Amino acid sequence: MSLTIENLQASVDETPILKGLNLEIPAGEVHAIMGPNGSGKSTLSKIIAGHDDYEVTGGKVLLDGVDIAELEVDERSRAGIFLAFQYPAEVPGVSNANFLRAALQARMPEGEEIDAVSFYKDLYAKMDELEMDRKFTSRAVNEGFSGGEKKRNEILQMMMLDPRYCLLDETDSGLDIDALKVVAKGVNSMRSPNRGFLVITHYQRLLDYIKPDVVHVMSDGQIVKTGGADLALELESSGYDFLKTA
Amino acid sequence: MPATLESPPVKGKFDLLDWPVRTVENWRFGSWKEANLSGLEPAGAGKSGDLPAEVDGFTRFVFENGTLVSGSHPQVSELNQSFGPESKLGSPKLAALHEAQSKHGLKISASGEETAIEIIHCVSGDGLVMPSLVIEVAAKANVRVIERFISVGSDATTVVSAVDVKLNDGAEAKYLVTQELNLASKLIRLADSCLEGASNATQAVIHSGAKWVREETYSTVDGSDGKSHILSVALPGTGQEFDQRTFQHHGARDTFSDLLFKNTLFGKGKTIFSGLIFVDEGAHGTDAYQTCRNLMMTDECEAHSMPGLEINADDVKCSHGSTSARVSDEEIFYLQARGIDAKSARSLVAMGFSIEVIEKFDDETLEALALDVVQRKFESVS
Amino acid sequence: MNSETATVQQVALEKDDVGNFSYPEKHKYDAGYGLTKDTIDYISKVKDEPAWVNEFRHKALEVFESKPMPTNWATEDLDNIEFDKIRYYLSDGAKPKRSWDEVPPEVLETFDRLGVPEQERAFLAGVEAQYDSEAAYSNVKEALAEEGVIFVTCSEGLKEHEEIFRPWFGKVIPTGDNKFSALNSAVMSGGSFIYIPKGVKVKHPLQAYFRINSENFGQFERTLIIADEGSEVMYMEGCTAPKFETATLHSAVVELVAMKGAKIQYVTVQNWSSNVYNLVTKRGLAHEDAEIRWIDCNIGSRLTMKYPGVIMKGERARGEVVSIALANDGQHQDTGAKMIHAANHTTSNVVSKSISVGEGRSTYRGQVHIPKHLKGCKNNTECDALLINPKSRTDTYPAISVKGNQHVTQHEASVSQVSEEMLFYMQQRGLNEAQAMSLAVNGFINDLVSEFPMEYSVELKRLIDLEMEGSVG
Repeated sequence: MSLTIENLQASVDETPILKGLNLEIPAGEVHAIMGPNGSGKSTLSKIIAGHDDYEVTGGKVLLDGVDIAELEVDERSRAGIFLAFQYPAEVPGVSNANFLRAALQARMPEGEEIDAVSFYKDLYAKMDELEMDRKFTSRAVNEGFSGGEKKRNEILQMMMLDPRYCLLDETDSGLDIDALKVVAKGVNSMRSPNRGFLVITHYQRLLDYIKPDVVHVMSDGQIVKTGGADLALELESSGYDFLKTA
Repeated sequence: MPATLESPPVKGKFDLLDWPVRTVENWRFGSWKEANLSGLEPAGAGKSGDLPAEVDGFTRFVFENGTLVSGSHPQVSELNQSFGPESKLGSPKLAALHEAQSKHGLKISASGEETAIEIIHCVSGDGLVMPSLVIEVAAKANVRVIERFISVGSDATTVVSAVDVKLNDGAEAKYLVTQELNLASKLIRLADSCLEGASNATQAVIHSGAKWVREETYSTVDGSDGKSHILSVALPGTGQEFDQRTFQHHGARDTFSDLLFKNTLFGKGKTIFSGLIFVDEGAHGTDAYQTCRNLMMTDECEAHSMPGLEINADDVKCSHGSTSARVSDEEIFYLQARGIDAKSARSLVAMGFSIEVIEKFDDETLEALALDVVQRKFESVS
Repeated sequence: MNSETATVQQVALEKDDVGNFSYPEKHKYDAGYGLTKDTIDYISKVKDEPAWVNEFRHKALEVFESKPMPTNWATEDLDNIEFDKIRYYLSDGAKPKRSWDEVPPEVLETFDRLGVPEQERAFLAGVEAQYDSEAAYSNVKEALAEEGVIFVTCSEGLKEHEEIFRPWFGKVIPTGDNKFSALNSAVMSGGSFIYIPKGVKVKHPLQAYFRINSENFGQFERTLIIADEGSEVMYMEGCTAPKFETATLHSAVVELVAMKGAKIQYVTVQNWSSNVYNLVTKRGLAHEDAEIRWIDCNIGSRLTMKYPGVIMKGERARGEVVSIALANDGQHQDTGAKMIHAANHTTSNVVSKSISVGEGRSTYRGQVHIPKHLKGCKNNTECDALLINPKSRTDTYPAISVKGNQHVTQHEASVSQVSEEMLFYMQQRGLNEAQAMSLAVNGFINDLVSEFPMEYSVELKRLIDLEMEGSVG
């Protein structure tokens, strides 16, 4: 079982962004993608999620062996792909609780309703884990949230929706060290043999708290180097300059 | 054809049209009777008056009523008839009057980098003065134009001015009008502009004088990435009424317009602002803004605002706002606490209110000129 | 199949379209097609009206006939109303029943289907149910009647409570206010008269339900609510009609009078079928320290023109309009607010949100008037429009007149759409496009929906979800 990306090529407005990318994230593993700005890291997560700004021109994305090319964004989500956004959108007027209920309801079989009591019990437990205030449930999704609050909210949604594969896009940006620890704790609590993670980050810092099994370096739309957790430390000290000379 | 069979002269557009009436929506709150110019004759020969100081870098043209008395520039030619303005905002009769009777004006065909023209209209006599101005800016060219209206003496002159501005792809224009007529005179100004391609226009007016002003500003942005900035500072006092109607027409995708009108009302001054942002079907990606703010300086002034939107496309960002208020007591208190007396404080804050518009010209020369007109008005009312 | 379907003409009954059914007509009284002096005399005779009312009607007819259509500013769709193809009065008699048991079976079935008796039992202090031209049922809880609360039809009001009714009738909205207020004044029938005595605070809402059952018919109810000093009342109105082939006209006049310190809240959920011209004049007069709030939601009708107003006549009076409009294909919601400040320290607030779907058009028209020699008046107006599809349309035409420097007014309007980014975000969480759109729209109006009583806000959300179905894809 894995999220597998085979020779993926994609472009936006006819400019190629991904140029034959290969990646396999087996369930149970945490993979990190690092790379300089503009290497296409964030684009990769949006393409996996199915954003229609990008045109996939070749290759495929397989979710446990099934090609998801024809699936809509929401179908991919319900199939188990979760994207924690770098910049989560604001949804004015829609409370976090109602939003999560709607998202969970969308996963229920026709005619079944989610149980409100157990929903709130579950929600509150997870909010406690992320050290979130109860008042948060009635605030509108991401509206007026600080950077840190938005990121916590992304992790909360991830925990509530119980996805198969989690894509974390620059989750560490805009977080102070305390918030980073809380977010990492949330992610670590979800590590399981049935779930895979792809952590996209520019800095090694996040990987101190979420230990990756595999680290990939991305450059110009391709994976150019793959290694263990040590690779991240190596990048931290020597930077991405090796890409230019390589 | 035998002379006897000659048909009678065809009635012109002017004769067929009616003077504005109250029931026309474009004259709501307006003094439509002021627009009835029947019986007025052309003012005849003008007089020379004291001219304002020369503006650095600008070539000056001076009109005394219908006569060009000085000025020449390779990109400027004289007009001896109207270009035929169209009024889409309620005054077709006035436009037809201009078309039938205007016999003077200028055409600026800007093709260079740094064309800078100043036009001064010295008007006098109890009659009509009807200048034309055409500004055509070639692709990638850049022009700055100042147009000033000044009364010579105390006659009740009626000025009907028509302007047509056209920018081609990549062109840039800044156009400032200052109006300092005496308090017996009237100004009717019909100003059309059309932006083709990715051009950028800033047009600004400063209304200081005149008994009554009716101004119709119609801005069309017809080219993607075209940007139209429309600015106004109006400072009416007792016996003055400024009636400004604007139309921001977005005819293509990804167009931009921003309108900012600020009125500071003294004495029994009166303003009417009616503006419409109109986004054509299919003009997606439009950004359009419109703000009218009234600063009420006395208990007897009067401001009417009608900010409007008509949006026929989606994926647009449009907003309008209109406020009216006086200088806030907190602001006055703050300045007083720094040792400034209440009266000066009020005038200082009010000046700041107008300056916010002037700063948007983004051109030091034009800003200095506008500021001078505003300052002189403030001195005269306080 | 139950016995009911045998008697009901199911007019292209659509899913969840609760109002779209009608019963065969069985009217005892029918004024026939067209409007003449005879029509008016017929109505007066059936209603057994005093002479002054008949005279009032005749004067109004003259005004109606003399006034042009307001198409110099309003939509030209008004010209499509065929006044001579309308029946101006249809009823089974002018006297409403005080008990549902006495209401004719098909009328009772109608209101049962619309849930009116059930709501009355659940949370209402009084109900009037109008069927075509007259109320079939009108009743107020006994305890309120004992406190002196009057809740009767307008016809009963003008006859039985003339001393309270007449001084205010036609005073807030004069006959000649506009062409349609004149029309209503000529042929008015039905509607409510409410009087709340000094200091009485009515805890539960009073409700009126307006039902059109007949084709080629015009409904012209007239409502007058007087809240005496220090009293409080909430009035709610709902309405439906079957969707006939031909256009139907609904033209009401509603006058509110809030005496010193009184508070009136008037709640409307307008869900006429999409062939109804809904041309309504609504205005309140607020005395010293009084408050009038119009809480208005327009989802149905072909063309609605309605600009609820408040005249703030006493010092510190407050006026408010909270308005939601949803315009779908073939609909024009032309709504707004009029705030007339006529005393010092008066405050008005307008919050309007509109949603245009498909080829729907929504329009906001506002008027704020602050005349000379007043001080301390405030107005705040916000209107936000949401466009859903590329051919959706919205317009905003406010007019704000302020004299003097003792006031603060602020008007803001914006137009936006549900951003792609927001939709992608919601879809990434597993909602399909329609669900995401619906959630976004509900979010857009959420703060206003909460102004409606709970029972209405649930219904409102459901109606909006229905309208949003099929707007995407």
